[in-house]
Amino acid sequence: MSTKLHIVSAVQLREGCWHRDGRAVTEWRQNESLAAWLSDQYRQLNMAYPKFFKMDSLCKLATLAVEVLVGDETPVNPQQTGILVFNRTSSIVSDCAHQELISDSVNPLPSPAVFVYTLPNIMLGEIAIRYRLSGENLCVISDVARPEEIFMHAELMAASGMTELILGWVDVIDQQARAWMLRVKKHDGETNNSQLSTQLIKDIDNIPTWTHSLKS
Amino acid sequence: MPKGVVVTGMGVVTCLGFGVEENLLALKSGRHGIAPPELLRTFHHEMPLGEVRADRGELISRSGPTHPPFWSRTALIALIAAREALQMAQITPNHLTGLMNGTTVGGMDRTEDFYPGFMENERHGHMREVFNHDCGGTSEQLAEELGVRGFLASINTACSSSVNTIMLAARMIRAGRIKNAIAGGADGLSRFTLNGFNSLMILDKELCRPFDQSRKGLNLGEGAAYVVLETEEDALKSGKRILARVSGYANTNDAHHQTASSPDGTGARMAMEEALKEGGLRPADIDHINAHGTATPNNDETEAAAIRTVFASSPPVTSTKSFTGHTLGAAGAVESVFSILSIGERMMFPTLRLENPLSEHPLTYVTSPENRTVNHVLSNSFGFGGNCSSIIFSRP
Amino acid sequence: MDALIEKLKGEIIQQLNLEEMTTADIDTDAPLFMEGLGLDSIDALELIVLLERNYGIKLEDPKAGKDVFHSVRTMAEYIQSRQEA
Repeated sequence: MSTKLHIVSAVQLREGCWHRDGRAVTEWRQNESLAAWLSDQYRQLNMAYPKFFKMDSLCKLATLAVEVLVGDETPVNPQQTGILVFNRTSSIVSDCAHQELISDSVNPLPSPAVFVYTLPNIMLGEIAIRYRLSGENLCVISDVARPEEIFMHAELMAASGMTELILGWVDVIDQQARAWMLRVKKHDGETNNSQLSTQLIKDIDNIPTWTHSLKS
Repeated sequence: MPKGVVVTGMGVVTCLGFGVEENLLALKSGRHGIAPPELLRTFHHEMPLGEVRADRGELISRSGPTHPPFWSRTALIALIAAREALQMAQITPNHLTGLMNGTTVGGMDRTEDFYPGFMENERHGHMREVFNHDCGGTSEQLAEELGVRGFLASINTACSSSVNTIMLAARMIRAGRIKNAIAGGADGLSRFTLNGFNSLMILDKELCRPFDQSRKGLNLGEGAAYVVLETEEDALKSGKRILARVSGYANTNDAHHQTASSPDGTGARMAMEEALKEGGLRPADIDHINAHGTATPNNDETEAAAIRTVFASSPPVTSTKSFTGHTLGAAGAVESVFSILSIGERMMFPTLRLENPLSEHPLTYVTSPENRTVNHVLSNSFGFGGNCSSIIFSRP
Repeated sequence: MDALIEKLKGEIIQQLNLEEMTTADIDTDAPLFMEGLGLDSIDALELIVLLERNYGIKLEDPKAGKDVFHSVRTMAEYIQSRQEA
């Protein structure tokens, strides 16, 4: 495969704050829950995007990650920007919320706003809506991040005409969150960076899942 | 040099029956399979469903998995359809290099039976029976039972899931990453989805009427369908019957709303345009469209708008969801099989119950089975989250 | 009526996750949809759930919601008329 990719910037969630290219861009503050932490991070990033509050925690986490990654530098070719997200626990948080509502034996009353988030690929939709991205998008459910698999999907997308990719891993279960995100562009230079990228992915995926907790 | 990818086997299970033959017979005779719930235990008696007409016991005896208690309805119908596809392609699973599976609810039906008792008493039931609840678990179980040891992928992009699996398999084969693959998807009916779709108020209590002015919403269905893909070169070498060529495909995002399509169907339009481009085809080359056509007011209007934009003159359009209901994650693969059948049978299957087509974006519709040579057929599948896919199958 | 309107505003903020709004931010007579609060089709469905859960009113036809959910006042009037009926 001759497609060359290189990483423009990388975002990680580490110990409750966001890092971009190795530098912290938000700070961890004490919050009573993961939900409150998500709102706090949103405010720290001055996002002014009220739709954020309608999302489930998985989509909120993905939206924050992409906000840190992309910021004001919106992709120049929205039709050729692909979104590729890996995830292990699918939309478990909203799945459980929906299940609880319909299990009410007296008055089962599902909430449409909860049900729409019972699919993991809704995060791709939320990212696409926020940045008006209409390129290819794929959500892959995987136990662990396998660099070779991630890069294969990225290369296939690039080979099909995507010039830029937003690529990452986003998971939320209970009070645990895990996210990293890369901005990847097609590379015109002579060297093939996929070796380097594979290494970077390995490093990135070594970050531990962050569990929201109160400082004791 | 990219390789040509062809379909050499296919299998399908829907409310129309088990296997390609039974489904074809129903499609040809205009007999749909949607009826009030008989198997799904739900208080929504008023909602017609496209149920696969077999209870758990019958599905187990038809598919014969090694450890029946661990198999959900989704996985059982998947196994039946996958076995048919492999048999038709005359391929032994250990020669398969990939399995791509699309599903949105995985083993939800089994979980729904398990939990009420378990919540009352933790010793109730066997946890192992819901071990394969998740979408990935269903795929792994299927691969293990079939004996496929190659590349394995589970894709969940809502109602476009299984067409995206076919697209991924075709791409990997074309790029020389794998030699061949079985790709498709399955979704069994569950209370989870029925209640959810009901809350979105897009279910019709009558039989669904795709593209009709009086349409009120969709009917949910269940099903499974798989195709076996390999290189044209390999298929020719082994002298196998080639059912169709996979000539173009594309995936885009509508970037408009979590569930609703944009008014002019931007994502759908781009998916169709890109698929044509990928296949080196002009709009006039397409003889037939198997539409997503869910029968919701929003989908059909925006899809029709998109088709009008891409095709100056509309090829005959059908929505076979009027036969099967919306089989969600399986829909893309089910409709791929039906599209390939319309090539082989030289027949276009009708959209049932279409009396007054929507007037805003006039299209040509198939309303009774038509004997016509179909050389290139385009199939649309769109999912929540703005995921839009189009795939084109061509006469070999 | 005024008490119902105030209560409704609070319920709308909660049901629709309008986290950064207070009841004072919602104009009783302004259109809820379109430019107003920027609500969409899912929000309309959530308002139907709100009517059923909090007031026991079932709205079967989503199209009927258009008039009922025009503004907080029309919603309050509808609730009152249904409760008197």
